[in-house]
Amino acid sequence: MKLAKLSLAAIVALSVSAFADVENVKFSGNAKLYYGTTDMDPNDLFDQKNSYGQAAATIAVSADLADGVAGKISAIGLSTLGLENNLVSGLWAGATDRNGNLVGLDAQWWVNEAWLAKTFGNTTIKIGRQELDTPLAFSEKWNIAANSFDAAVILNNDLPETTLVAAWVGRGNGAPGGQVVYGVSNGSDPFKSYGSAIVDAYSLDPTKVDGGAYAVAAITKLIPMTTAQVWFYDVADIANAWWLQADVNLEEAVAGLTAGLQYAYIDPQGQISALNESSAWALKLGYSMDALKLAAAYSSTDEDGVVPVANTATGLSASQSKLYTEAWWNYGYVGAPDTDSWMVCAGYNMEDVADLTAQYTSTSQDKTGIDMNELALTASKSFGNLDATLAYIYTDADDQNGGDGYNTIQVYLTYNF
Amino acid sequence: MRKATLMLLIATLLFAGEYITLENGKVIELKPDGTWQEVKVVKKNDETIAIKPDGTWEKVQATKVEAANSLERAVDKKYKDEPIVKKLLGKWQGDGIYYKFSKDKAIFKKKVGHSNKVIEGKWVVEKIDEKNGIVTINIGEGARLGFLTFGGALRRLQVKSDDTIIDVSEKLEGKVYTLHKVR
Repeated sequence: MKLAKLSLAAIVALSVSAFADVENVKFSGNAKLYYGTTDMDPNDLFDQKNSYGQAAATIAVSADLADGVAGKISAIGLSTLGLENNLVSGLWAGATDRNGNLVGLDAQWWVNEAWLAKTFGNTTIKIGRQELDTPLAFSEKWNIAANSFDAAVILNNDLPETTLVAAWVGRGNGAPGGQVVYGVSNGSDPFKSYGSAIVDAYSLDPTKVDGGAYAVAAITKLIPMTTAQVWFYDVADIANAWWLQADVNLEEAVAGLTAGLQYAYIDPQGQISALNESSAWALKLGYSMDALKLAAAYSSTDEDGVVPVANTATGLSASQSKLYTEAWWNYGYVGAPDTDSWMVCAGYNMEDVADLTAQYTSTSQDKTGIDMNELALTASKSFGNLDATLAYIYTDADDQNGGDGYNTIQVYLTYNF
Repeated sequence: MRKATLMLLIATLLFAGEYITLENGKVIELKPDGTWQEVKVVKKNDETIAIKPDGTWEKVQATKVEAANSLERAVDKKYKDEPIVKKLLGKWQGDGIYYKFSKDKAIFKKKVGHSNKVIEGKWVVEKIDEKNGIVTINIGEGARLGFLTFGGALRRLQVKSDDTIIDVSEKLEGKVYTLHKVR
């Protein structure tokens, strides 16, 4: 036993000597258990038929290597834990694989991040599987598992107060319909060429969509009190798109006051070039004072558009949108064509008690006459390493539950280690 | 008898060093010839191991060596008296992100999806980049084995002024957070 301990110490000693330039090696991860239930007709809250649940575990290691190189590798596993036997009948993520086969009841895992980054002066190149956070192509983190991308990203900070971004996205595992990620069966690859979610939605020829997507952007704080960003996307054979946004800190006028303006434009190309262009604009006012945060937003989308102004990585329906008005739970409405939306929300941090939020979202789509109203109330509290969120959502949408309102209760548990 | 002698010899070799923990948290070995050298100290369970620059190592006896007794405290206090680190003390708030630093404890809270990610516990300064004003800290780590840390959160904070810090931890993801001190 002692010999084993000494051997381990020797290994550590050798490792320290051999990797003298390695710094900040961090092993971390989390375990999640998410549950939700609704009283959509004809069932009641907590009935198995209207409930969904899943567990996930993520293990990651990141490190600063020699010569300005950093890296990270992370793997995630999903399991139902057998909840489908008596508690739930639905899943949060990974229900089907990329070929449409139901695989979510099986335990599954995949590498969700594996990247290296190298910094040269003010320029950083990051290559590999990674999460992205851009306005029209991003990892959706509300679900139990987030989608990621096989991509190369260049960040440059040579200009003062400005970050220039150039990115190529080859593949992603984003899945439509709110499941966010494709499932994995028997080691199958859940990643598809970028744009596949849209290809599937329009029944396009997938062989013509294999060039991935390109994006360039400038994010600057050169304008006083303002963070401005301009993004241009070229998704091969599918669409070109622009996203403009300015977030202004009005602290000098009124302490705690902020404002934001967004404009998005999507121009279908190639196989869907016959479709009309989509566009949207949004305004937001925010105010914060101590532990209180308030916000109100309004958005409007072009009546002739077809492609929704939302995350292009997770299909065309139920994708999350970066528009200020995005609902707390019912995605797929605010970015839909010919839709006017407004949102108000309030958050209050009761220190040592809980973080409380309330959000009301209302959308109205003229061309279909579909209205959606949502009220979401949440309470978040941490117990040591365990983060817990309890959510109540009231949804009244013309295209859900026969047009009748219904209640949803969700529990989010995350244990960080 | 030979076996006992051999064990005594091994024990003598294992506990031969004289170690001192400096105020800055670094641990040095005082050599019999009057010179000294910095060592890396690895803590595993109840055992402490000093690793020398030449790659050799030595087990440290907790009752005999100050380094072993004060290792955890010393690592916690490393750099804590630096002016740039002292500026971090207090509450900081940005868009969806929050820090609270006291002398011995820190809270890191970030909005992730529909939940908050909260890391709470002791905090350790890993590195200070004086040129860029960046302090690298480890919050709430569960365990440490040399340069390996387990659990918690590694964050990089750029101190811009007494009232503003920039969280550059996720710069590689293209995300930079500006936080202001909560009065």
